[in-house]
Amino acid sequence: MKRIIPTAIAVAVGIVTLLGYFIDRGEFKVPQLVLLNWATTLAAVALLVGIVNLLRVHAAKVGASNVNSFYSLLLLLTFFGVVGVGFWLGPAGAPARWVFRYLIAPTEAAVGALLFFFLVFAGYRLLRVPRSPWWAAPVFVVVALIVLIGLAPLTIPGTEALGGIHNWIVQVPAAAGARGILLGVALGVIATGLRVLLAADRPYGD
Amino acid sequence: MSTDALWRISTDGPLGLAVVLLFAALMAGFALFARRARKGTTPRPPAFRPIEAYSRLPRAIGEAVETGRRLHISLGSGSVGASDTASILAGLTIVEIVAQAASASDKPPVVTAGDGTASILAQDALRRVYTRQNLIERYDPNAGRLAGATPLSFAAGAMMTVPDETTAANLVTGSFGTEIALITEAGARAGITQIAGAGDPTAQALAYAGADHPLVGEELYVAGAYLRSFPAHVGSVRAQDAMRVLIVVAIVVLAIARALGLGTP
Repeated sequence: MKRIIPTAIAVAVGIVTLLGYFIDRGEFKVPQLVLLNWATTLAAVALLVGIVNLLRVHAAKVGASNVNSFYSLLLLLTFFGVVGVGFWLGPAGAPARWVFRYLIAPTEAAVGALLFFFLVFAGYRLLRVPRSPWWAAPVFVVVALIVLIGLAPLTIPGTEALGGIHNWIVQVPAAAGARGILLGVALGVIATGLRVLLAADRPYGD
Repeated sequence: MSTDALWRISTDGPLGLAVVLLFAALMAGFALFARRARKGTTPRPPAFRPIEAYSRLPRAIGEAVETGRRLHISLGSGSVGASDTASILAGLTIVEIVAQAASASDKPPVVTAGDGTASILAQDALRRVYTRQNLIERYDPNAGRLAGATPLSFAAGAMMTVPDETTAANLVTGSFGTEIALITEAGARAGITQIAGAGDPTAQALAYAGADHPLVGEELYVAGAYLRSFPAHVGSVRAQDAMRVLIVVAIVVLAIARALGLGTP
């Protein structure tokens, strides 16, 4: 019974939601919307559970006092600081907006900006480490360089022809390859969803 | 029916439902064949084209167990219930397989997620494995954890997990965007084996550049068939191949019809 009830709920909810997506009639759409609203509420509760878990993990790291304990301590302090500001002065108040605009947004932007440097290192490593087939990595790096130069706002003398090559790469082989990959991903996504709907996969319960 | 009319067919109507039902019927049929092949007098393992990442994974697990280090599995920053659900479920299949193989280790795998529901599902997957193996006393709820609630804060949290938990391999398999490059960079700096795959094509390109063994296209979704030969997973791989052939035939026929000017006004 411990297995049957969650499986029956998952299969029934999945089928009702799927039918609401494919059949545009009120008797299918209304239950779908109700279930999606329930899912949104449950996801919010799950986020709270996840945050408690995050705090427990970092509290344990502070207690263990390893090399990176300082960052865990910083996370706990900033978490309670930001939550405190939100609770006492209101989530839409000026202090909360200041925290988001001048602390959280710039910090995330800075982490995002690191991506460029990491990608350059990744490209370099790609050429150093042999990978099968041997020509794939050099082709990947050369194409990435041509596309980058083609996207540059300033024209680099002697690279005018690369603009045409860039357009051809983006419109023909890259578009064809991306569509092939997306087709494969779509089939994989449908198969994964169907396995849950047919109760062949049960990522819940025992 | 003209080719123009064919291009206008919407996949979110009854035709879409018919395609899904055909897919389900093919999956069920192939799964039945796979089950028979598995239980027959001379069981035959399914023959698939080799995928380097899955060929390398058992060795990575063995190395982690032998050296007393952890495996880090990252499910990504996507949310369960949104369009990323399938990628997260595919990552959870890998979590179960890896946790089962590494359950003998003193250092069980650690799973990071960027969504509350995904972190709970990860904890549940780990608990299920330890319960099945009568090792529930080894289960640590903190082994499945929320690393951050936004893509970049999640990436920052997952990056720190690699050095903090003395990991032997980084399995970055789930729903990712460009932040996948940050996590694979942390693994590259630690010099550990990395397997990476995502549903998003941009993330796949970054995984190709950053990981030792990238999973491209639908390879992320076939772990159960490759690593455990689960009949339902084997059936779904065969059904995917059958549907792919049907789609290719449809594309070729429609392209020829278009080139010949059939159906155009």
